[in-house]
Amino acid sequence: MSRVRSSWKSILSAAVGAAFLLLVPVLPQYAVTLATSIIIYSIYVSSANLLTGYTGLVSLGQAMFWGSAAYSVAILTSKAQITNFYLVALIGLLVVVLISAFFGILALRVKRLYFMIVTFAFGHVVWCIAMYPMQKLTRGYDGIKDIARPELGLSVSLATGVSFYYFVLIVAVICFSVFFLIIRSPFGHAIVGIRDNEHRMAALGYNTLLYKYISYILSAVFSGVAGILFAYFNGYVNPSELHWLFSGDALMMMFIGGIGTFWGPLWGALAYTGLRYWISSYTMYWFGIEGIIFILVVLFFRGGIAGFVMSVQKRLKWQRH
Amino acid sequence: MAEALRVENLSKFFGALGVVRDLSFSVPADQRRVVIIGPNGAGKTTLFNLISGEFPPSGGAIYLFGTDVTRMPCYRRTRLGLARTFQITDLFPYFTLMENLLLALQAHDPCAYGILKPLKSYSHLYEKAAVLLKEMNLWEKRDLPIGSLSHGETRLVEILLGIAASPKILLLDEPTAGLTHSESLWLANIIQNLLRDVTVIMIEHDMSVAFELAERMIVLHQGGIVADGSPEEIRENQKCREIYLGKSHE
Repeated sequence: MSRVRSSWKSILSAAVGAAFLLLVPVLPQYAVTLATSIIIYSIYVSSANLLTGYTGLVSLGQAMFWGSAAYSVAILTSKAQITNFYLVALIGLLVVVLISAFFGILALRVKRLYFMIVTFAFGHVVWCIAMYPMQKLTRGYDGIKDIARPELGLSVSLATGVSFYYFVLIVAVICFSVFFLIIRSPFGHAIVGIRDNEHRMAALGYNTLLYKYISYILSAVFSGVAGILFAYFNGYVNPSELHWLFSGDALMMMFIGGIGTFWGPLWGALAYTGLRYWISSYTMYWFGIEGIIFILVVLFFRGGIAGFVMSVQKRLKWQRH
Repeated sequence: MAEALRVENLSKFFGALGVVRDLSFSVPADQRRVVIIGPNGAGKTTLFNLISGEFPPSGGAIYLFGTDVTRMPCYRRTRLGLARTFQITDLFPYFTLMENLLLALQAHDPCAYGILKPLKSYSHLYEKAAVLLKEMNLWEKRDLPIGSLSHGETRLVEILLGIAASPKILLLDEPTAGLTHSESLWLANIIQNLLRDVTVIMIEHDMSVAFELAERMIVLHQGGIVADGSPEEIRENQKCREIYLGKSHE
């Protein structure tokens, strides 16, 4: 029975994979753009999921990492005129590691609700710093425009939407593979243990603070990867990338997709971004509708889309028995 | 003989309430079974929480094998060979029995921070877990979620989690809580056989289990020690009788 199910599963994932791989390039330009942004968001939501879904730390500061990485790219390419993509990406990630290493030490001193409030405050502080003291560098509300697509130093050009889409897809596959490894590793096992019962983990001999700290930095790095991709993809970075509202979006997509599940972030990014695009073409009240969708998910589909899919699978299995 | 544990003038206040007051005792490393008894509210679990490092004491000091651990976090005390179980079963409800045990086993393994290799590839952990589970007749249930085990079995898993890291001192907080009398004796028997080389300090309410296991008994009352001695001495101690049975007014 499980073989039937797993073959169904692999056919389904192969079909979804093939659609992303083969179908997207033949679609119109707007669909390629939409698919690219969905994949970038799915990395971002996955990073938040590592922290919130797996480690149990609800953070409202995820945009701080996405935004700092995106701004690093924008400033380095447009102001410092650095064209080497690898150097830019490396510096971007280094910035994120430094910021997360610093704020992590402070934020992890407190737990639960207080942790969330502190991450929210840090996010806001970073946003304010980018807006005012660093205004010359970040151009305040105007943001930084005209970020050129990266040069990989290979014979392929990423100037077209389709080629950049494939680039993003490859990075996403790498990121998701690393997530997969992390979740199945002893470290992944331990962070879920900390999420479920932290004081017991301490009694078993785990330095729970260090685990949470590592998870916080890892999560920041993946947000940074997504932020870097976004800056190149969008060609324009503005302060809303740093704003806590965008951290809220990560939580929203996570809940819709299925918190604490591997594929949940992809489902969430797909549903959220797709619906926003579709609904926005009919009405300007997307935010209201987004709220209603969120309430419906929390009330009736606690496990989000991934949880719903799993329960359907279970039901099918029961019927076959 | 070296001391496994020494507690000096230990006290803990919650506001004005002194739960543990100026308590001192030591346990030599060759002592195997110390049972702590006392009525509800005597400060037994608080004493355990202080020794294991759940929260810091208000005063006094704690030494593990001669090392001052008074301000040491929980996880570092476990490195010195301390482990504990909890009075209220405190496991990982979303994990299977096997996964629960693996968490305890990997805590002190070099792979504890391993991040890029799957847990499944560390076969030595699975082998250790298999030995423990087979010994306890729980092997068949290894893939069941912890919630589907019986209460007696979860009490046993509590102990398994405690001994997984091969501790030198094990604090058992009422291992038989919620068990019937015959189940308690069954568990006491397992403790007796399983933990031959470990200094076990346990809190116990079931007096028949307490007297059966103890080679030394400490009686706590209102945060202080009222008696400390062999089971026979405690049985004869007039003060202990008064605490448990009330003063006789003849």
